[in-house]
Amino acid sequence: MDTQSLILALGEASHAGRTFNVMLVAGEEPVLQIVVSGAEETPVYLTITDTQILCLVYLFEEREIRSGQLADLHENMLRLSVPMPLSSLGKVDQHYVVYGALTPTSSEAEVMQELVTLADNAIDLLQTFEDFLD
Amino acid sequence: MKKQSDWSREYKAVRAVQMAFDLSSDIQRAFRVAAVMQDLNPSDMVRKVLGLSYRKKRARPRLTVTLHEDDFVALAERYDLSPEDRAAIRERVSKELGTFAKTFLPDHGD
Repeated sequence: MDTQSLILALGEASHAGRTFNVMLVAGEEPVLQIVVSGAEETPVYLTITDTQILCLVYLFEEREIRSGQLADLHENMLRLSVPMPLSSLGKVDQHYVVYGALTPTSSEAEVMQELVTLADNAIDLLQTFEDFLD
Repeated sequence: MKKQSDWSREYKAVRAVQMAFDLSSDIQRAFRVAAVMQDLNPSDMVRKVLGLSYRKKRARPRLTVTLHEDDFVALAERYDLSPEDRAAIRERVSKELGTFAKTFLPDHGD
């Protein structure tokens, strides 16, 4: 699978009643910004390498965490990360993220399932962690 | 921390996603600021840039603040007034907001 074929596939597709708005972000490596209908506030960023399709949603920044809450938040994130379907929690620079990785041989339907689940998980997580954030 | 494998391609991919996120955040911020400066909604600002039809001005651009019971208590303390003296508190609020506006946009004062 490559980004061009994914742009074409997602533009026309609907998965579990959800549609996808795809934008190619210009740069050294092609990255797609995908907005899933019904989860517009949590756009998914997707990039494809030889070994994986990486899908990632930015949740919040370190500076947004309430003072004294960091350890508790980390504990909660680690515990939630295992049961959360198809997604895991992580950190890129100062940004906390939720992400999912698929094999590059995944079908379009599997990618769409990942995108919908990830965008919905991100909304749930933002609500869950609300009390830890300013 | 020891790395077991060569993950340099994956690091590069994560970096690319980060750059894409920063870029789209900058673009969104630029549109929000441009929209405010031109009294447009951000979505109308996007339509304007793309040469599509858009609503010229926000229908009723106005600034309102709803003050609750505890807000009056906090403001009374701020202005050294009684929380019951709501008219005086409102007057001080209006004065303070006016001063802020003049400082923020000096050419648009008075």
